[in-house]
Amino acid sequence: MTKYFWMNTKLLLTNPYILFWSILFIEFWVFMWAYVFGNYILQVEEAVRIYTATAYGNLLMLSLSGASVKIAPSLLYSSKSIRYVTKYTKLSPSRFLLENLASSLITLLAISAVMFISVTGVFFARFGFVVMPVNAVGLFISILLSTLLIYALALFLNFSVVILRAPKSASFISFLPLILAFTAYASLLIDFGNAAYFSPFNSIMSV
Amino acid sequence: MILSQDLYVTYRWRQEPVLKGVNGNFKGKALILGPNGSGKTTFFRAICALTNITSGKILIDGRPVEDLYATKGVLSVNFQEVYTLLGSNVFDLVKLYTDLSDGDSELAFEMIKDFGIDLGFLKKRKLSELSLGQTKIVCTALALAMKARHVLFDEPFEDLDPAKKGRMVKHLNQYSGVVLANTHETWLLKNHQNWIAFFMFEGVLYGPLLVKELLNAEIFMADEPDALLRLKVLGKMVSLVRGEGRGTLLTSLENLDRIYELAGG
Repeated sequence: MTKYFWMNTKLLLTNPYILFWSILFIEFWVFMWAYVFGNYILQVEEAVRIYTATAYGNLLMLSLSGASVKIAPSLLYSSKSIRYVTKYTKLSPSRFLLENLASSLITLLAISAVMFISVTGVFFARFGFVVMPVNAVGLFISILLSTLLIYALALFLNFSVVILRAPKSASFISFLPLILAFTAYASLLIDFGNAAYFSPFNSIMSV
Repeated sequence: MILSQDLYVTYRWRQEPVLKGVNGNFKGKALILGPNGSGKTTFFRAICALTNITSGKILIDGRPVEDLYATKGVLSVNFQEVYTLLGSNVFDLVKLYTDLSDGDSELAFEMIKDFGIDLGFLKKRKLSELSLGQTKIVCTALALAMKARHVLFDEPFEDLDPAKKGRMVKHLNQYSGVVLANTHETWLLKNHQNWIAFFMFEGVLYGPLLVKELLNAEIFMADEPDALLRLKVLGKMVSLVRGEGRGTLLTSLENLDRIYELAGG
């Protein structure tokens, strides 16, 4: 790995936007799910388990898509530089993509871990028992696929702006993952039928 | 060596080309002189492959620029836009680019300090937060510190005060690789007497000439058969002649944008 990987990872992990919108803001909703919405569910263990898994899946989706709002513009900001750097430094195009993917995944997985710990902790404080995944490996794979989806979506949208030469749309496009996440979040209230299978976050509930 | 063969660059389909058949062979140290908007920066962008080539070729050490990937030590440039890989502070950015190119960050820091910029200041600022002059100094220092065989300097003296321009001249002259600098300023010719000069007007490259020959050269608004160089400006023939008091001394122009006033008048 080159210095690019280490510096990009550090910049993403310490980005104030990501820290606020993906963690602090979502923490507020963790407490809302536990202490406000949680009053309206059956206070039995099975119902709490399903409720906790639903909360984690949905809040993680919002949290990660919030982070992608920052990851996508960072690629757009450096698009001209990427062209130069991949030609005239030791960072080849494939190596750049690999290192960018790795640093983004580390950030998204770190956010997922923080959300897991906080949901588990807050829901334990509220309901009095720890809800652990029944299939830890399955949960990890599910989270990994979710982070890959978010990264691929951010990358695709960013490159679309570059290829279509539409920098004026950059701001709107960067928010598309978040808009899609809120649409998927609406599945708590609306039946989307089979369209629900498009979101890998929904599988978190079953593991 | 950088070789440009019949190079055309058009930004938008059916628009007039910005570069119109540029041919040039660049080795050693060369200046490209031309007014603003003549295509100098576009030419450099094409060499860096930041702009698509419409037709023609650019070869660096015999290899087409389109085929060059992950080739450290071949080319560096002082364009600000190539130093935006990460939005980190300038100090870290210098470390990053010199690491990616196996360059020498200390060399860049020494040069930056030589221009009176404190390194502590660079740890607190992003590149976009620097003044135009500071940005130019940092990007030029980075281009030099990347230790490439070919270095392109786009308007290296712009936005600098006279004292700093003098220091910049010293740093450019000290570099041992192939240097290609473009500028619209003619005052600096006396400082680069051993360099080669080209002129660029309206997307066409003229030359080469020795800079020494230009020190007493005059601009004459007619087609002179014994001219050092004949240029086409605003549809009129302009001759660069040896100084005999017939025309306007090139170095007295200070800025080549003034040639349009002469050609227009």
